[in-house]
Amino acid sequence: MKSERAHSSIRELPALVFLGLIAACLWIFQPNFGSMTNLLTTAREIAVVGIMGVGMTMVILTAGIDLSVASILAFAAAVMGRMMVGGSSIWLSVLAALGVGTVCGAGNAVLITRLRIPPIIATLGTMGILRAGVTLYTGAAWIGPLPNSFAVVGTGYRPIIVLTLVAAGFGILLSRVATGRYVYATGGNEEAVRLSGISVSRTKVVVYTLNGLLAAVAGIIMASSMSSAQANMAMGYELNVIAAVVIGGTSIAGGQGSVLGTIIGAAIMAVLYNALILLGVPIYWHKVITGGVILTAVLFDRIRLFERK
Amino acid sequence: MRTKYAIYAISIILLISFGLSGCTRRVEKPAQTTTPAQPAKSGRKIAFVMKLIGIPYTNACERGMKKAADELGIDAVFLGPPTGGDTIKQIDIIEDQISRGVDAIIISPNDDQAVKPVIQKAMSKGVKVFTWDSDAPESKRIFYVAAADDVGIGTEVIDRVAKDIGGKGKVAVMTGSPNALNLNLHVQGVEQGVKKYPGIKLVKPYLFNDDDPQKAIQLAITTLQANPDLAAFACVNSPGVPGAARALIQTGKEGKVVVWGLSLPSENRDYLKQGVVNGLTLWDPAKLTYVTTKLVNDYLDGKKPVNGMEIPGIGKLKVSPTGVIIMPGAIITKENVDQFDF
Amino acid sequence: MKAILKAKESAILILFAAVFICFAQLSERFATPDNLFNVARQYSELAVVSIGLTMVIITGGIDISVGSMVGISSILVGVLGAKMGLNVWLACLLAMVGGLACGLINGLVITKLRVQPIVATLAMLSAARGLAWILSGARSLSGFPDSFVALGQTAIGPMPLSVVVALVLVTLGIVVLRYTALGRAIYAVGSSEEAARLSGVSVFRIKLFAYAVTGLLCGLGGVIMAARLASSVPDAGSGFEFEAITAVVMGGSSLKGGEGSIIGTIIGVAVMGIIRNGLNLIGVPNIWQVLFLGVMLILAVLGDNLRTWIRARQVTG
Repeated sequence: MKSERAHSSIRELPALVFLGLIAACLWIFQPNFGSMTNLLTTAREIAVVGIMGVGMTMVILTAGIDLSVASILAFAAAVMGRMMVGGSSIWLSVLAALGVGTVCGAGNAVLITRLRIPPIIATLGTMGILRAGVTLYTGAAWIGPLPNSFAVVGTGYRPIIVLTLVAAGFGILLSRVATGRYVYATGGNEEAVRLSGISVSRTKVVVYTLNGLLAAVAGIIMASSMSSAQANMAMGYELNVIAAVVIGGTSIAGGQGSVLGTIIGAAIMAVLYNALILLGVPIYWHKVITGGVILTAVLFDRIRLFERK
Repeated sequence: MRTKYAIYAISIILLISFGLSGCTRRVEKPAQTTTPAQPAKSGRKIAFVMKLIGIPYTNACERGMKKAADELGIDAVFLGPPTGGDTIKQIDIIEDQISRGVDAIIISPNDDQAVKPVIQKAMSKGVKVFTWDSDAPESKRIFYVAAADDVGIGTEVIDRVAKDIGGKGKVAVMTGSPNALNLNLHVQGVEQGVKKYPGIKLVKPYLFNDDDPQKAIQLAITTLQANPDLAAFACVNSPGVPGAARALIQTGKEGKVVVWGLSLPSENRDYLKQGVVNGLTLWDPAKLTYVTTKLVNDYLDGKKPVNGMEIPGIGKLKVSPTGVIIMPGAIITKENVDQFDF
Repeated sequence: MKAILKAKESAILILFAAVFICFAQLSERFATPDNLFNVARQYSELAVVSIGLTMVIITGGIDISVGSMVGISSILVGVLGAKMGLNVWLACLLAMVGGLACGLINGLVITKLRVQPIVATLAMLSAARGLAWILSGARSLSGFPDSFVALGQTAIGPMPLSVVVALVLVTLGIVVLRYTALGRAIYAVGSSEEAARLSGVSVFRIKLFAYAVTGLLCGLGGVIMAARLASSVPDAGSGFEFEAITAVVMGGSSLKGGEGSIIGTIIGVAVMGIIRNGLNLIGVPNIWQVLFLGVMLILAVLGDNLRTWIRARQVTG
């Protein structure tokens, strides 16, 4: 256990250093970066991607993937929004959102474990189905404005607090609790796990369902910040989340990675995006730079592996 | 052996379910277009292809279309790609409507250049093409229905901004996607208008929100951080104004930065009343699409639009020789926002 | 007859027939040659790209950058041919070389640097798309010479030229995969890299080939798209990767590698095409099509799983 933890802190170091470098450069060249409002807004973006990233990390650790997270986010937010606008209490609506997320995640889990559909395909399918579903559900109209008392959820320190709780909670789950070890093990060698009597299906069900739940949490924060819910919210976010996970050092092949790495990955992407806008870099350079960062992060990882060998 | 049966079973189930869904849809369809009071022109099919669907502006357009279609007794559909700025999907949708054999297609193109060949193809096959909301002036479209002069409305926005900031300060310009002609013309209007105010400086680069509300908020926030002395937001597409408003609320700067733009009163009612947004200048997209539907229908009957013609409930239209039709628009502030229901 | 039915592609073929018949019933314009050729035209780029992707997936890899590679190629045609005034045919050639280059980069990063395919191609997806935006200044480009525009509209008999090109490439692909040693090697690498290596196959070369060919075919796809639209759009091919993967999987290829065929993939492309077209013709809002495709994808895989399960039961008695 100790060696595992020492190993993991070395894993995240390059990413952390990179993050520090960008932040430092920004601080020097763009003093506005350090303003509280800017930091908090960036923090919120990190929170949204990070919370989804925690779930995605677990999924990827089992050598799976979930492309439907953005669609689950939108659906959960839409249901919640409808209820709020219709006069339901905030707590009930939030609960409904969490419920929707959990059910969607469970749906993915069923497709993957019971019906044996490969995760990439199952979630590709559900991604389309849920996105279409949310458009039909909202009638392509915008749901809002959401009550002012709810709008505060997505502002200030709250998103970061939620992220910290989620990250800490799941971080502990993954490193200390048995289920967490099964998650790593399943990704490392599924056959071995099955042969040793542990239920691979159950582990996967837990992981995908939780992922859906976390997507809903992210959706609650996002809807609060926009004070509305829309059918096309978080379009394309699934790739951002996967990028954050990969940059954070989690291996797509499964079995290796950490929640902390993903948070750092999410932070790198958010700070980078913030930097590009603050520095006035034209929009078209953003994608190239993002691609470059992903590749660099992964290559770094490769090099480290080669060196150790 | 069993493999065969399994496959047969699956396909039979599919056939049945498809057949059933087909039947139900057939039954639903006639109910959509209600029987008209006027002599039936049913059988006439038109299609609106918008830049995208799923934002309040486009929903309002669709309402206007449906109202006119019901009154006229024609079959009208409102289509568009699910995300903003998707030129290719829009072209594919247009091609499919050509295949469908509609009588007329009315387009608000994401890209006025890219849409020229498909418009030519449609016209050559006898499908009449018109544009509304955003033009493709170099194409073979028959006429364009706009509310307001695209350039003029941009100038209007910067004029209003200038008045509220005392003629000097930094102004951020927020627009949608870089290829939409109408937005570019609005921005052109802003650029032309700002020449009158040497004290105003436009922040570069302009903000492109791709009609995405979340992006609008983010861009606005980062602009506020990069320019803490920002005086105003000038927004030329509808998600821009609420995006800027939310950004101001979240950064605690509401009331300190002026916001003017093209957006719907229904999206911004509270912001106007609370003073977060100073004012809007817009037409009613539902009325715009309503008028367009009627003008297209008239054209298909052989009646061309005439300068100064009056549409009941709307007002007089200005028709120019190049085929541009201007509908009167409105300035919306917190004083009169409740008069508008779009 | 039995052999045809037992083939992996039978399920998708029957699905195609079922969908076709339904839409033919629901709309009189559907089954007209005019309409069907139009659909074929719209989907010829996807078909061409899917040929390469099938090979990549058979080797057990994946390539989610295909859409971006189509995009960069389309922009290269525009920038070189329209904006810079180069001979348009030379521009097309260079665009295809550009696609090939991207494919080679993908292949090398995956084989030599041992980066996971999904990650490597995710990076390429962003980089190529970004490059397309930079080169085009995020604006669409047009102003092609008439000869080029005409090419996009030419037909050989009733069949659009792009469809003919797609069919030729599909045939070529089928022949290579089924009847050549190269094809057998591709399947071998997908089934078991170790076994393939032991029997003398250069796994590195085969994988590189698969990704490079995909890049080249994306280059061609970009050219076809620019000709069809008579303009280069920076967002060309956006979302292609998901559609292409759907087609390949629906066509019976397994993502674990070692299984699949181009015939199945092309039928998959055809199914997607007629669903979108059919739903448009009966006036169903576009959003239902996304739903349908998601359901189709899952059903197709379920169908395949069912087949495998039944086969396994047969074997064990």
